[in-house]
Amino acid sequence: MGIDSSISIGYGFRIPESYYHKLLRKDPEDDNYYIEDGHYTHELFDADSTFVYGKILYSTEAREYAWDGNREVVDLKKALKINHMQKKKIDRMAAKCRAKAIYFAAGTIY
Amino acid sequence: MAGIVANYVFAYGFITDISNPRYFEESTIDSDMATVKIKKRHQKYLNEVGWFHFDTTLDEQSKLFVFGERILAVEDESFWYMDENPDHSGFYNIQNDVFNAKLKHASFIDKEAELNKTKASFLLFMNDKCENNSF
Repeated sequence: MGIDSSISIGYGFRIPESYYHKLLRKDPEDDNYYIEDGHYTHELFDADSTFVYGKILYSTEAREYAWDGNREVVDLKKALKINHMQKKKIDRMAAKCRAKAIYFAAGTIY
Repeated sequence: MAGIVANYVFAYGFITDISNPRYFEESTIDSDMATVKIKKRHQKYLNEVGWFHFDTTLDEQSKLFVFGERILAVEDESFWYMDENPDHSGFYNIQNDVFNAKLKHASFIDKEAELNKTKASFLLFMNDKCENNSF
């Protein structure tokens, strides 16, 4: 059962596979895989290696058991505030990749 | 709905807690989240925050509720199955899926918020409701 998970919200776009080699680093342990830098690139679903370019603005804790994890209530508009220059940088990169940046929420499995 | 093990909820509403006599029977507000009685006319608007039915002690409870309307609820299972169902990517567009969602009870919730001297907003919280000990 998939309880070992969290949810992340942020501003960014899913990196098209054809741009992986430009935006991501090769995994030093296995040349067939790419890895995130945790700064502007993030791997969201380990199961299918979905990468996002952007900023994670809020994440719930990873929960191994159902009773772990955050118990707070998050005001989305406050949580989704992003630095103007960072937003512009993400928008520019999205345009280069023929994608569109959005405010997203994504489930993450560890 | 039984057995929602881990459920992240997006809602429009405001935070209240177990001690609010407007929503909970005064005779039960000293009890726990599993036994507190919600006044009938408000039942459909009250969502537990982080309540886990059979493993809850008074000290571990959030004692928080969100008064509001659910917009989107994300269950863990949908994360596991996203590969099998391409329509459900597990990747939500907050502007389209949450902020632009059609709300049926927005004005009512706004009025309730005013009565509670607060403002309604778009919220994200975790709800671990697990009925009938089915986990």
